[in-house]
Amino acid sequence: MPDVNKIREDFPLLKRRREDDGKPFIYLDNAATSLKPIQVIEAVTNYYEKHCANIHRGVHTLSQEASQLYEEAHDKVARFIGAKSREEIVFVKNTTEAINYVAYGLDWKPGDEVITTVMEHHSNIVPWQLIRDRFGVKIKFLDLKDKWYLDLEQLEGLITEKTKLITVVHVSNVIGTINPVEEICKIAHEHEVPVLIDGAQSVPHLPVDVKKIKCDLLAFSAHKMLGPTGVGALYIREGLGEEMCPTFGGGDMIRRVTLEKSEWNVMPWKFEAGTPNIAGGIGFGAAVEYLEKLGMEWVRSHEKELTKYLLERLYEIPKVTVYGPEDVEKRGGVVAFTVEGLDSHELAMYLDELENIAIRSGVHCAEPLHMKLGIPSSARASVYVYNTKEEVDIFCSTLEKIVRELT
Amino acid sequence: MRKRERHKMAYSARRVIYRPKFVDHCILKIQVRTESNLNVSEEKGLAYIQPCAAEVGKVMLESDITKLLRTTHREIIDFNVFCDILNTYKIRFSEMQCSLTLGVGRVKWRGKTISIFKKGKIKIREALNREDAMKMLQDFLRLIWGSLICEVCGQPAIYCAAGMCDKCLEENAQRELVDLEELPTGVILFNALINLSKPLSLLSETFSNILDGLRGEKISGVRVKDFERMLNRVNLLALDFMVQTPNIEQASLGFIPLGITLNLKTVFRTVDDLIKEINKNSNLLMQVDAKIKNNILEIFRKIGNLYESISQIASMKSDVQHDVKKVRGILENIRRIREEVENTPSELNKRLFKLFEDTDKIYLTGLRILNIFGVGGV
Repeated sequence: MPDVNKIREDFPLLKRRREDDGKPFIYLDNAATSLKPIQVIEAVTNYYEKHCANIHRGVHTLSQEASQLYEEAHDKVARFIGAKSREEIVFVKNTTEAINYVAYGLDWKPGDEVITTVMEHHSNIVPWQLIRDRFGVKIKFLDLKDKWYLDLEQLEGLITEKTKLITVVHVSNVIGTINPVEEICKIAHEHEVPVLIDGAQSVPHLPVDVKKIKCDLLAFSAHKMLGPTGVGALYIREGLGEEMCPTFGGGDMIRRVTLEKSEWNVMPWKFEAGTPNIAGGIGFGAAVEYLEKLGMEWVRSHEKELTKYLLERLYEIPKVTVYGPEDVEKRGGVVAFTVEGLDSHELAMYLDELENIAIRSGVHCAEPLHMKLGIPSSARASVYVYNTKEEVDIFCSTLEKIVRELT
Repeated sequence: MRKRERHKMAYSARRVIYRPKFVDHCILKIQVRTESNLNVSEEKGLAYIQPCAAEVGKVMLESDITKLLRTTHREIIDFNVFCDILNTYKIRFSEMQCSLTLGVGRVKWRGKTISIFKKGKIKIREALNREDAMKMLQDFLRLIWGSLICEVCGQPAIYCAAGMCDKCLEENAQRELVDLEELPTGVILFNALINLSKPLSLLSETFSNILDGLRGEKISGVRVKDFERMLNRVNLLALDFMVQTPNIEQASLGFIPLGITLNLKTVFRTVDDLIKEINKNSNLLMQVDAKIKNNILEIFRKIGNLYESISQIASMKSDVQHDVKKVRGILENIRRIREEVENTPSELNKRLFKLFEDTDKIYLTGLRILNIFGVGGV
């Protein structure tokens, strides 16, 4: 069983103290990005210090070493999500880019339909609006029922012969709901419709196995799972990659080029045009290894425990409204809430100024969901592997004081 | 032109006041300046101006008063005074909270949200643009000026203005005369000063009550709520003047009424305690020798006159020279009578002195108020 105090020692930022009062950081903005352990920082530094060269381009030692490290990172990520091999893992910039790769990689015809949900992050709404405007594609939205859950009964009715893709968030970045992606994939596949899962808030926090879910595509970011910023992954089920068009053309994604035409490289390089974020990719591999050592079952159980405690305390504070399922089995470690009489940005500012607590405020790139909930914005606390019950206590007591004194 | 004439008519005989003088480096002399062209520079106290997270098209600003004032104090704001100021000005805000426990103040003013923290950080959100944000910062700093800690005496500026820190207000200094009619917002300050006559009249009335009490009658306490309401009105006008006056040097004139009301609060608290003591010790007063009793009555009569004169100065009903002459005569009388009482030692007198030792405070506060008015040296 991992020891949280030992884990905390791996994170240099947790040792930082505020200059004027010596208060430590209480980082509860993990849904936005996670902190980075020394192992990841060292992996990135190690590449720059000892193996800095471009990949797949040189025969010299450094290039081969860099290529090997970068390719091995693909292997690690593939293993982490239960993919068959590195061929199914395309390194991208982030989840948003991964979704855009899918949006621009499918062969759209006017009248084609894409089904998404009202629970999505902007990154799983805006690309489809662009595709709609460009190719005449129709977007359909799966609604909520029972406040926090997707209305799966509605899904069957939305699927038609023209449905080309169903794309759905695994764990909501606002209300924390864990969506039944296996069931969604089952329904979709009965109609031979591929499914793209936005795993930005699930892959870092739950055991995710693409073979078990049976999804066709899965998008996620490294920076939310202890890895560097500027790198993420798109899982593309074996066989599907060959059907998709590469979004970008250029170096490394081709096997052969003439003045007339080009032949695409094999998966996953077909989708990785130009020099990639090599250091980031290697850091991503290190992050995945770190999480594997902790064990994703443990990560989930640690977060469930913290989330349960956080929810219990939040429910007790007057004027605080919490959004999302009460049952921690049905939700991740993302907890959005509002305080009557206090704007979420102000609240986040007071927590920061008073106790050096970092939370997110605003619409968390999910404006349609906030409209659905009838709130202009919300505050969001989100936990991860290094957070403790004591930190949750400080957060809740400070929030309680702010509510009492400033509303 | 006609408007200006009307203002002239609204003023009484005297419209000039003396500008109090403060020692170098006093927070009231340093002044809280924020030029609108101040560049974003952490060193100078303006951390950033950037797009507002809450509302598209609006800007937010962060500033650090300690850096703006280049002060060495870690806690630049006296939060008790700060919250008092915000409470006084509450009527002008659409929302206001001030927490002594947290050391945080929060106001919504002119469509902007302002948060201020004990250590001196100010955050202004939802400003229309850079100029709007800077103007808000400037006005807010003027508003809370009285709560900023002075480098010279370590007290909040309002104590310097009230002469209570004993270091900042220069006594007997050559004062500059300011004609309120020449100030664009002079009428607001004039009104603040005029409004001082109400609490001062109430004070005179209270001294009459004390005289009755000394004659053996049971007397009622001070009408604290009425008094506070009157002083708050004066303070509100003084703060309005400070915020609205274009020139920062002139804005500091608002500290005249603010300093006086702070002193008057002290007087009223003292008088309230004194009335309680008089009611408790009516037997003692009955035993006192008639001459001493008359002297004590005379002291209170004179103190009453002193505050009556202060009221005349505040309401500008007579010229300064006349007021000073009158006050000088009163003070001379009080001194003489006190000496006479002190020179008649007896056990009973000692107890009496104990009972009336706070009259000193009332009398000295009167002198302090005169000093703020620029008629020190009486």
